[in-house]
Amino acid sequence: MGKQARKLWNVISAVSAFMLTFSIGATVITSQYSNKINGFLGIQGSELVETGEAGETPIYYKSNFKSAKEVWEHNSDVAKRLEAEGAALLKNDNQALPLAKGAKVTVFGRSSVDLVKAKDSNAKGTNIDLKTQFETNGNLQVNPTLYEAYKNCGVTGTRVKNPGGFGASLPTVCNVLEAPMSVYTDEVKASYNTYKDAAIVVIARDGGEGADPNPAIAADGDAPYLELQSLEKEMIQEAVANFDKVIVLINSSNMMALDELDELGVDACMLIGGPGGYGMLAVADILVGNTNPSGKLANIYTSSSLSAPAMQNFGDFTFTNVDALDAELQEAYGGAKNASRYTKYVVYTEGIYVGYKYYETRYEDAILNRGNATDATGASTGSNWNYDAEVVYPFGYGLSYTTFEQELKSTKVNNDKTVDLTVTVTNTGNVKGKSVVEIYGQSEYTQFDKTNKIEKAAIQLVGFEKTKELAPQESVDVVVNVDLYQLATYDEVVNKGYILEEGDYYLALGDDSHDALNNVLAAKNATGMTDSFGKAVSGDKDKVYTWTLSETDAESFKYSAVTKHRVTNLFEDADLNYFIENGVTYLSRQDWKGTYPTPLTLTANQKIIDGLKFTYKKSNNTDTSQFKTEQDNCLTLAMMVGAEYDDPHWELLLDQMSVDELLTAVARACKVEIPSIGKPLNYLQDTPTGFNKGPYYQEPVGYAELDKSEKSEYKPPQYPTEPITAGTWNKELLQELGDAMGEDGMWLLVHHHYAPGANVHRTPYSGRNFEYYSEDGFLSSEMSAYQVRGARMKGLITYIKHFVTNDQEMNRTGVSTFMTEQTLREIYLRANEGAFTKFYEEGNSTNAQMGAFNRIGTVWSGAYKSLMTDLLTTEWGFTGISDTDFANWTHMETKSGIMAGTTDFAVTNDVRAKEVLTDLETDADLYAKLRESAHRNLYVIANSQEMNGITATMKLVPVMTWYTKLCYGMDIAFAAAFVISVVGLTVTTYSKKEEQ
Amino acid sequence: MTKNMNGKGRVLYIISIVCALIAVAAYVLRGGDIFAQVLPVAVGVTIVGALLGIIMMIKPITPLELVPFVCFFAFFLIFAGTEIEFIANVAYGTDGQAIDPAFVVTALFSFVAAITGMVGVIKGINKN
Repeated sequence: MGKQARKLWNVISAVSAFMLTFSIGATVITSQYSNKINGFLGIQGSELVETGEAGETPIYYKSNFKSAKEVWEHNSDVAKRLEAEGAALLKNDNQALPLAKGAKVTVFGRSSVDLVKAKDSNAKGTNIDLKTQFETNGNLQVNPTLYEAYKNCGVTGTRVKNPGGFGASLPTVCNVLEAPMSVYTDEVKASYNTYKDAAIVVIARDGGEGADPNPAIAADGDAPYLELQSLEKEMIQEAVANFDKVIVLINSSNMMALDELDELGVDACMLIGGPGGYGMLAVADILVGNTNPSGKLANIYTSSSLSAPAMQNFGDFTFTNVDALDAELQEAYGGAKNASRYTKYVVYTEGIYVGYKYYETRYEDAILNRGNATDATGASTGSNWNYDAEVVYPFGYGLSYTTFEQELKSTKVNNDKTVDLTVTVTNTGNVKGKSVVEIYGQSEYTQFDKTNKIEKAAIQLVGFEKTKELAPQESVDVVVNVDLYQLATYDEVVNKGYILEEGDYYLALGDDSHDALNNVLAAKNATGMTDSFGKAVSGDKDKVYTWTLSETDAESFKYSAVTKHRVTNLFEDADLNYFIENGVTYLSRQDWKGTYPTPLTLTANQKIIDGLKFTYKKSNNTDTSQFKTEQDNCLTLAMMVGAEYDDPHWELLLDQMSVDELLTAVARACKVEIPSIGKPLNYLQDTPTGFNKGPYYQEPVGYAELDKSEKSEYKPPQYPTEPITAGTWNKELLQELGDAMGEDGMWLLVHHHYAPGANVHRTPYSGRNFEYYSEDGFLSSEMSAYQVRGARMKGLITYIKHFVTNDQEMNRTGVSTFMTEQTLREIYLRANEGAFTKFYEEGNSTNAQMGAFNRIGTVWSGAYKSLMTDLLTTEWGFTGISDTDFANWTHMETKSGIMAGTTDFAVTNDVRAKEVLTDLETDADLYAKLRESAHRNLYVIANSQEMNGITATMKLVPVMTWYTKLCYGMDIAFAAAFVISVVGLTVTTYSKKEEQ
Repeated sequence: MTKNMNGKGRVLYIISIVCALIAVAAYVLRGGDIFAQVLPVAVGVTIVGALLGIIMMIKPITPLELVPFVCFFAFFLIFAGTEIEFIANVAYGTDGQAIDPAFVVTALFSFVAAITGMVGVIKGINKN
């Protein structure tokens, strides 16, 4: 009996000891990662408790809606309208479209059952598929036999995946995921007869975070990924052979080569991009004529996906002297050889000639017989370069079911360096519709430019407006205000600033970029022009406003319009030639043949290696005694709502925080709890197409009322991808989108939104083109400005991203990007500029930005003071949150980042805080910047919807979460079991010994 | 001494100690990075556990024989706790972050040390 009891106690004591160790470990680990766990579970580890008199709940930003259902209905309607106005009809031979309402159609393409960027669509959170959306309201009837055959064909998978993960260190594996031709069985073919009105073919392509589509020729010898693959052509041929009308829908945010559609006999083609959750409803409306298409391309579409000069230096490039780099840098990066990509580079050798600016500029030079423009160099055909052979659809192109006439009625030059162009738009067709007035500009390419490294595009978008819906024969006057800043040139050699050079200037009205350029050429009395389809045209000089500037104006844009600071060179060290004399010749229209880029092989010299080293240098100012902590100033963050940025109370609030809290506000991401000032944990969302969370709460509650509200059944919609939202060319609609996202945030209790994306479609192959608007800086700038304005008016915190030059995914975590200052300013910074400056005065510019992982020149963007402080703050007046994105790579050095102007490190562990702590107490400059960073972050939060429901007298008190209770419960239970069993074991063991 | 041995329990107990020593050696050799340093407390706990385990085999003292596997399991949990960021990075695809052999050895052997130690104690390392 005694032996058995001892055995029993032995087992119990061993197991309870094991379990006690486990539960204590779990308690410690869950406590350590509570912020992450709470964020993941959507729960709070503390609660706001009213310590004053209960009064009215303060709502600083009000919702327009009374219920989650109303929000859902409104926002899904916005999503639908974005697709309705952003989808671009590219081809419509023989008026193949619109179809009759209720038409019976057969939908080809396996992607029809697996659309790209269209998910989480309905109120219950499940997908509404293409068939359901097409058949809604009786618009179309879809052949179920082929649709089901695709579902059951066995083809599944991921279209684009980088085996190197989000770091994108290896070529992607790309799949079209089309069904084999064997899917078209006799039964399927027989079903065509019942659904004969049209064949609709869906062609899809995808990219992804960390995953650029691979431009290499496919392993089986098929075409590059963004061109039609053999199987797709066979499928289209199947459709053409069996149907009188074949309509192709391009379900891709990456620009595809579409020239073969004509040869294949396709009747109509429409770009639908990534339609989001409800976009296919709008597409169906367009297909049957309920909606007249009015979208215009936000990118040029070419016959070869590889013909842009930027493709020459896109992708994976490694300095030849990797060993030397490792020897000098590996230790500096904590031994993490691959974690900072210091051996990788990409050079923007194409300069400003990105997208249509290349093709159109070369076209003008070809027409005017200049700069070896017709040389075969850079031609995709192998013979002389010819615009018609290179371009399929120009930038700004898009068809309608009606026709419009646009007349340049008058022009008014204003004193503020702007020009108002009044354009009369008349609907000359038979159905109502919207038209886009596009204004392009040209400034003369002068000898001064040639001497001083300045390049000028022959045509660039400088203004646009979308009309209201016009009834047949209805006219409207549209005023387009053009800011000549958009035509100013950045001269980094002589004037070190923006100038309007002496010479001829043109502002041209056009249906697209090519049409506008032909009108400019007509004003120059040029001949030999062709339209975008190769047909001879003469242009229309009456659509051009021309003037000549007799002397260079270096004054008008010498100072920032926002801060009045002198605009001058900041980015000379972003240019490869700063490091290596004559290291690169950038593409110049002086000589297209001689300067056309080739892939650049580089060896890092000592100057580059030195540049790649950490830049943090501890200051000599070691006296940190001036900085107070843990003062009892009786302030809460809610008391600072509405306070000016330079209100002295901010300093008192900061004095109230402990050092650890200061670090939390900056180096552990500013989203976590800060008890001393009553700031709760808050949530973020990282998707420009909307909030992939949900469902909504039943009321737009603040944090203080979390326990009072239940979740509804309504989930936020997924909006179309940015190339489609930009393709609406509708600023007001983009503001509505921002407003809708603001509502989403309010009803989801998610107030930090990592959007919009405003990187540039430098090539068709960037994996995240779906998150960025356009290849054009100005269009991106305008669209982001209006979207941000709408969101800001609802108090959402908008992180425009990824700032800046993260224009490819390959090696994005540290790749050195080199370009001229003119290129950086006029193309890549311009795409972001509007969001920071356009609505600055009214207080609706972006209040946050997310940085990029890459380096600019040799310095990580977040530690690049020229960018983060000298440009963002000094030139653009930005004092908001500068966030790092996921701060998990070694080159994103914390102290350098803070000193440069980064204010928020997006991690919730202690690593970044520990880095700062190593020098904080003995580096007063670092301490001051840490406080300034916390100030900026808290200022933004205090003036956001995050403060809804929080009163000035609320205190943050910790609460025990359910998992903490569980852990403590286990600790107690197992501890009791352990103690009892050990006692039992000891007693039985030693009593037995005594007996012996 | 031979007379006092319980074969299976004692073998498991020895395996447990050996596994723990291998695990801690792999842990130290693997080194730390900016996310997780080599923690002296983790090494110390394991060494204490191993030494005590050896002593227990020579002169078992109830209930101190429980301590070694508790130490080994504590080491495993400390290791797991400090490597959560690393594991997340691997899952996220962070550059240069991949499950390495030393990580596997540390995790596997420390866990096996804890389990075999516990089972060894249950089986009995002392026949009496």
